[in-house]
Amino acid sequence: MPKTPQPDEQGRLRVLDKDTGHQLSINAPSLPHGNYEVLEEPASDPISGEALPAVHGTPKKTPVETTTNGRTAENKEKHDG
Amino acid sequence: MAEPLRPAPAKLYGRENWIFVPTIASAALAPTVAEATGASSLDITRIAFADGAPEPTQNTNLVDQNRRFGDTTLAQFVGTTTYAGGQMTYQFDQQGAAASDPVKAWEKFKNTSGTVTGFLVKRSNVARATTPIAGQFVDVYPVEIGPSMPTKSGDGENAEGAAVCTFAITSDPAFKVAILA
Repeated sequence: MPKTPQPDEQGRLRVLDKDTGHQLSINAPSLPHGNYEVLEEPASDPISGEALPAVHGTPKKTPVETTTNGRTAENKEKHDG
Repeated sequence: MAEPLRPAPAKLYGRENWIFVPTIASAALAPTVAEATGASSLDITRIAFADGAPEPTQNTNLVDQNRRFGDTTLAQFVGTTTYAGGQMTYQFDQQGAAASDPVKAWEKFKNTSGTVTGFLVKRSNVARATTPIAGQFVDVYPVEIGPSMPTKSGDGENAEGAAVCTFAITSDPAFKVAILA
């Protein structure tokens, strides 16, 4: 059974936003409202209690490429197979 | 004389969006498509009430110049510009199940232990259901959102569950920045 993530004393969690690749501290109740992966890292500054700043990354490439008109490109191998 | 220029109106009725974006990587505050459309962002266009939608303001001081000894007239300088936030009132269902749409804004903004930071992104003159794409221009306000409190919007027959919160603009906004790919 997956462990329920425990927010810190400030009620925050440190997460990786899988859509954007950014790591940020969020308000724990907003966890279901994003494509987040909870990280085992501090979310708040231990001295000031402020949320730690975001660390910006890049999103992982989606496995399905889209064409310039936004349609999903055909997978030729699958098509041929 | 030729007819004076009259640019076409930018019609905004049903053509404005407010989107809350938790973080933006660009120092110029230009959001990427992923940041503006990811699951962590929230388009509050149809969650915020019409009379409770974010309405940031700008106030620029006009200050009198220091009068020189012989001056008999006084001119002014442009002084400090203050960008101010305000209140935001949005739909909220007290009985809404956790993680459901009726409590989405509440769970995103409510913070009993401080504030939620992020960016309020305003897109204008694009039909509201149009997905943000690279090249569209937006205005971006860095914000800090205070705790929400349940309240109601309307009165009597049109009363609806709502929540109200206050937001502050925490640094210079960026206007007419293009969404990045």
